[in-house]
Amino acid sequence: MANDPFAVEAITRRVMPLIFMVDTSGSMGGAKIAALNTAVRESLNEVGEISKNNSDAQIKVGALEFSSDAQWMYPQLEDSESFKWQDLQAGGLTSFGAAINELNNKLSQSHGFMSEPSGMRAPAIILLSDGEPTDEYKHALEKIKGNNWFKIAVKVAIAIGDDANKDILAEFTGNIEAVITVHNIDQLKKIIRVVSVTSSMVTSRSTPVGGSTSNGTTPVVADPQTQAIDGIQGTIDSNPTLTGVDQGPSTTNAGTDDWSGW
Amino acid sequence: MFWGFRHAPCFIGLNMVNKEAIVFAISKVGASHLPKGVPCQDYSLMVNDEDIQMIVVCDGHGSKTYVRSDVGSRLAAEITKENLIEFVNNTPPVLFKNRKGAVTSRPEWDDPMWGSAPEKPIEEMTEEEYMNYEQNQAFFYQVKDIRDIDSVFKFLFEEINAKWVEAIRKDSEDRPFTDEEKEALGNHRLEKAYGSTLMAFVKTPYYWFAFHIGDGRLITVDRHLDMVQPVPWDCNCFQNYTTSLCNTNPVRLFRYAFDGTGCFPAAIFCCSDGIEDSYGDYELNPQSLHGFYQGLLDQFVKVGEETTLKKLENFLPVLSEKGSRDDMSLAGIINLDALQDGLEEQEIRDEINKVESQLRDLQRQENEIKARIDEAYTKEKALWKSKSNNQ
Repeated sequence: MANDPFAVEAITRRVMPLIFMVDTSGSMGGAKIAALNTAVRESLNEVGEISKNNSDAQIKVGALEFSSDAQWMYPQLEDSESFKWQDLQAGGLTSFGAAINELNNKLSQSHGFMSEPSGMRAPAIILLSDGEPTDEYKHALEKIKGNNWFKIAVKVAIAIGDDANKDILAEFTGNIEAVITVHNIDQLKKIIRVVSVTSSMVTSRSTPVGGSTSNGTTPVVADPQTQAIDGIQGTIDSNPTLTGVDQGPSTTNAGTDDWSGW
Repeated sequence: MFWGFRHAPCFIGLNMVNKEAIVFAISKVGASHLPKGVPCQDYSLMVNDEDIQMIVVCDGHGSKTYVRSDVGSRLAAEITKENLIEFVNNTPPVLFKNRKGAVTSRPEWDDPMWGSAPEKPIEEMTEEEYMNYEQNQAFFYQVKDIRDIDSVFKFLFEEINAKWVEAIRKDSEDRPFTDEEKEALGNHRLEKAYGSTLMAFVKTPYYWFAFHIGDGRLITVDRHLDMVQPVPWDCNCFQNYTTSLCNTNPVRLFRYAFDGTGCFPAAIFCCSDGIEDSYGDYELNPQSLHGFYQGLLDQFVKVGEETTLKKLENFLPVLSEKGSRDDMSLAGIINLDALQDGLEEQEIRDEINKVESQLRDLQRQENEIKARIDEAYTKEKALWKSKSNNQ
């Protein structure tokens, strides 16, 4: 007997990948990497709750660390409700180009993460870095910009201190306003939470508005990147504990970095 | 005359415009639009006449720039209907006789001489460039033997587009944009205010054809309930991004299929992306949407047209609420006579699957019981051995 076409059980939740791209080069050592590990782990609890209570999409998490090479914490996306964050260690160079190539490989339906049978939503990619690439990254960046999943993704970069090359981070996000600069451990912890939660909420829900694409096609719903940037801006502006966090070109607070102890 | 093959997968014969066929078109406002009072931006229609059956589905875009996409989709559907009736009346059926084809979007440079040359080495292409390159290659291959028909379709698409642009101009003159609409539209072209996708299927006694610009799905069903997309997909329609009537040079973005061999689908469904997206990713899991259509066909057979359509009308808002939350449009042409055998076959296949699944469960249980018996024997042997050693 054929299925009941009017049963709502057939309706499935799509999967929204939340991908952390973490610079684990030597300069990230000490307090920075320790704070990052704690903050991401705590944020994931909240993301897991969002996923659990969201009828539009299930949030799955991926973590890509890059230093002298790039590697994934797990070979597949893992459910945010049960994701176990493994503490990252810092050391080595900043192979940003290798990380982009690795990300490009996985943003693929045929051989990557984007093949959940229930369907996929645009990913949210959060890049965390405190420096600048030590490898040739331009070619990799040009290539990934032709990846449709990357194009529609929400891309936010967290610059950890004023030594981070914000222009390069903006090349990755496609928008300088999507580069958030933090200057101390407390800000880093808080902003990881804000960015993770805001990006997850924006990309995991349906029905939005705005934007345009390089190939001239028409976005029928909102540009999630703009929504995420606006959401993060709104939180930074309204939360006094985030005073000193810079969004966009970091000039207001330049030179006030304090990464001592934690 | 009868062009028949007894076991052909499609429904074959002349004069296949069956007035007894079920032809319907339903559009419902999406769950996300209801609380905001946004009108339904989808529009669908159907024609069920002696010489022509037609369904048209248009999906007006939801972004705030597209301030009159509900009007744009309605105008697109109505203009398409008028043009298609004229097209069918004025086009000699012999043009399509014993010919068929399926053609994807036209490359920006439709030049048969230079069309196959890649702009740069394949290994240097981005994923998007490579997909477009492959699609362009496919276009030249698909049209090489049907350039005459391609010209006819291209002219039809030009006509539809020109009349749509004229109609939206007139609408904007008759009802000038409010300040709010002007602000939302910004510096975009007028077409952006009315942006919409468009898909249509037309069945005549001698041939059928379908065309599509944008997303949504057009699916045909053969008498064995096998479902296919006759119109090739456009790789530029991806997730929430779609080609549209409001694109610059939209005519090249129309893709189409036709068949004049006398092979008619038993059923056709056109749905907007609101329905498609509620059943997961069609590319990865087409069975989900196919299952919905199969169930629907089964309902038409078992409870009849009126009851099924009433249930469908009530179900689409629920589907929107639980699924994509987008506007919902579904149009169909269904020849139940042609599907009867297929549905019976499917019922038997489903029964076989069910019994096989039960058999697998029983076999699994049997294996588990055998394993437990083996385990018990092993323990018993060990016990004997230890007792005999002690003695």
